[in-house]
Amino acid sequence: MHSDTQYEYLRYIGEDAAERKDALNELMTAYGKDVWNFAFSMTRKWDQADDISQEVFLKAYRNLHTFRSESSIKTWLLAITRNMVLDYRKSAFLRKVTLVDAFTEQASERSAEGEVIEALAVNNMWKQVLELPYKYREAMILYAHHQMSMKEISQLLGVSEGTVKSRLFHARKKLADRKGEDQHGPDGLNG
Amino acid sequence: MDPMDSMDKKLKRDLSGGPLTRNGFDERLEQRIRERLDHRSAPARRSWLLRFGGWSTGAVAMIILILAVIQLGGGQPAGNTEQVIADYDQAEGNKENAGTLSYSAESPPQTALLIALRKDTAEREGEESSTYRTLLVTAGENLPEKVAEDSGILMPYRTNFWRVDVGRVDLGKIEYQVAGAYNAQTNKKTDNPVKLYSKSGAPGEIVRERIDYVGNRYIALTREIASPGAEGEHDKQQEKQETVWVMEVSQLGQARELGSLAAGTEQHAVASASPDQPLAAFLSSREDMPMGTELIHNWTLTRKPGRWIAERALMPGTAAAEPLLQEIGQELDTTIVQHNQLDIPWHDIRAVEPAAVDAYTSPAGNLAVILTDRRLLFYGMEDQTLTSVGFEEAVGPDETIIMVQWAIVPRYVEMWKEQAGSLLRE
Repeated sequence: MHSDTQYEYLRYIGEDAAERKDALNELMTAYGKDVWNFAFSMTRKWDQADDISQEVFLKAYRNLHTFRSESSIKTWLLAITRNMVLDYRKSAFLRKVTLVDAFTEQASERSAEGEVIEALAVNNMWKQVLELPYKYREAMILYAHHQMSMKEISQLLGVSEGTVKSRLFHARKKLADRKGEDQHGPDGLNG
Repeated sequence: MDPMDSMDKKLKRDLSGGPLTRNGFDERLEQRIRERLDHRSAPARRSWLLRFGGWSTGAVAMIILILAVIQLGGGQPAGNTEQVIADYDQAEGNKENAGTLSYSAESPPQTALLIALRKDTAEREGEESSTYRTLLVTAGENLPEKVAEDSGILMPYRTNFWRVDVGRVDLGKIEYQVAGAYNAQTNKKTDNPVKLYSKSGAPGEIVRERIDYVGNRYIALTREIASPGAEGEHDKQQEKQETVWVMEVSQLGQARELGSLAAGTEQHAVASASPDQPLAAFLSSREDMPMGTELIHNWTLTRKPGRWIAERALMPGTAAAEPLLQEIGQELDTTIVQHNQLDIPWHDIRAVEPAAVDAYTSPAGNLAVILTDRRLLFYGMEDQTLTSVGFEEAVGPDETIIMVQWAIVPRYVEMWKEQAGSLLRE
C-alpha cells in the first residue's frame, strides 16, 4: 500500500528533469495499475486503456507542479484518467466510429470486448459491473474497488453526493436484477 | 444484516482486486511512456493519435552502438510508383494496384507469380524459428511451370526486386531474430539482411520476429519480446509478450534500433479504418493522418480460404497464448493486397481437388494455385475453369503461404522471368 504522504514533495518539485522523471517512475510503479484498470473499466478496450494510461502519466508529468495535497495523489491521477476517458469518448473521430458501431449493433466491438472480459475477468462480479451503464459503472468502481468516500467520488465526478448515492443505488439495483435473472435461468432472462 | 450492507460487503470484497487476471500496466507500457517523455517535443495531437509514439527512431543525434551491419538496403520513401514492375503499364497511366490489372486483350494472357512460404520449426520447447522460400512460376499459352526457387523471400518492390528475411544476430548470451530487407539488384546476396543497432547497449529483452505477410510495400510481422530469465535466453520460465505490426519494406531496409523494437516505438504502418473506405495504411510518422477514421497500430494480414483479411490485435500474446486477433471487417485497399479475389467458385475447385483448403487465381485468368494439406498444385485456367495441372510442389504441414504477387503485363512477365529468375538462381 502506498501512502499519499510520501508524495507531499510533489508540491515542491521544480523543473529538474531527472527529479521529475524519478517522480514519474514512482507514480507509475505505485499507481500504474490503478490508472490502467480504471481506464480499462471505463472503456472496456485494452488498447484504449494503454493509450489513456500513457496520456495520463505524460499529463501528470507535465503538471506535477499543479498537484495539491488537498486530494490524494491517487484521486488526482484517477481524475486525470476520467477526463482522458471522456476526451476519448468525445473525440470526433471516435464519435464517428461509435456511430458506425451503433449502426451495426456494435456486433464486432461487443464481441471483441466481451471476449477479453469473458476470458480474463477475475470473477463474475467484475463481469457484471463491467456491463453496467457508464455512469453507474464509474460510480460503483470508485466506491467498491477504490473504496472512495461519497465526498471524494462527488468531487471527482463533479456531481453532488446525492447524485453519487442515486447512481450507486441504480447500480446495485441493476446488479441485483441481473443476479435474479441469472438465478431464474436463461428463460427468465429472455422471457 | 441490512441486505444493502451485505451487498456492499460482497461488492467491496469481489471488486477489491483489478478487473482482469492479466496486468495491463506492465513494464513495456512504462517503457513506452519513458520513451515518449524523451520525445515529447512532438506535437500534442500526434502523440494522442499515435499510440506508441512510433516516430521516436527518427533522425536523432545519437551515439550508436552498431551491433550488426550486414547489408545495405537503401530504403526510399514510399511513393505511388512501387509495383511498377508488377501490375501496370506506365504507358497507360498510373493504374498502380488498381485491381483491374491491365494487359492487352489482343495477346494471350500471361502470368508470372512470385509465391513465398514460411516454414516454422520448433527449436526448443516453446521456441520456434522460421525459414522462408520463394518460387517463381510462369504461365502463358502453356501450363504453369516453375522457373526458379530459392530460400528467403524475393518480392517486387518499386522498380526492383527486394529480398526480405529474418536474420539472426548473436550477441553472446542473446540471439536476436529480426527482419530486414535490401534491394537484391543493387546489393550482393546475403543470408542476413539485418541492420541492427542499439542506442544504449544490448537491451535485456530477447526480440524475435516472424514474417506473416508480404505484399506490395507491406510486411506484416509477429514480434515476440521475452525476458531472458535466470537461466538465460532459453529459460523456460521466461516471460513473453507477442504482438503484430505492419512495416513498409523500405523501413526494413534501414537500420533498426533494438530498444525501439523492444518498446514498440519503431515507426510502423498504421491501418486506417473508415466506414466507407477500403482499409488503407499510413506510416505512423505522417503528420496528416486522416481524421474521421479509427487508427489501428497493431494489426496484421491473415489468410482465409480464398482471400486475405486484416485483423487487429485486441491483446498481446503470452507464453501460453497467441495474440487475440479480431477481424477488421472491411475490404482491403489494393495498396495492401493487389488482387484479393478468387475467380473460380469454391465448389468448382473442390470438384477437381476435394482436399483443397485454399486457392489463388491469376488476374490474367490463366493460372490457379490450389493448396491442400500436403501439396501446392499449379493449374492452368481458361474461362474461369481449371484445365490441367502444370506441376505440383510438396508443402509441409508446418509451411504457410505468406506472399502471392502477380505480374500479367507481358513485358513485366518477361522481366520477372529474366531478373527474378536470375536472382533466385544465384
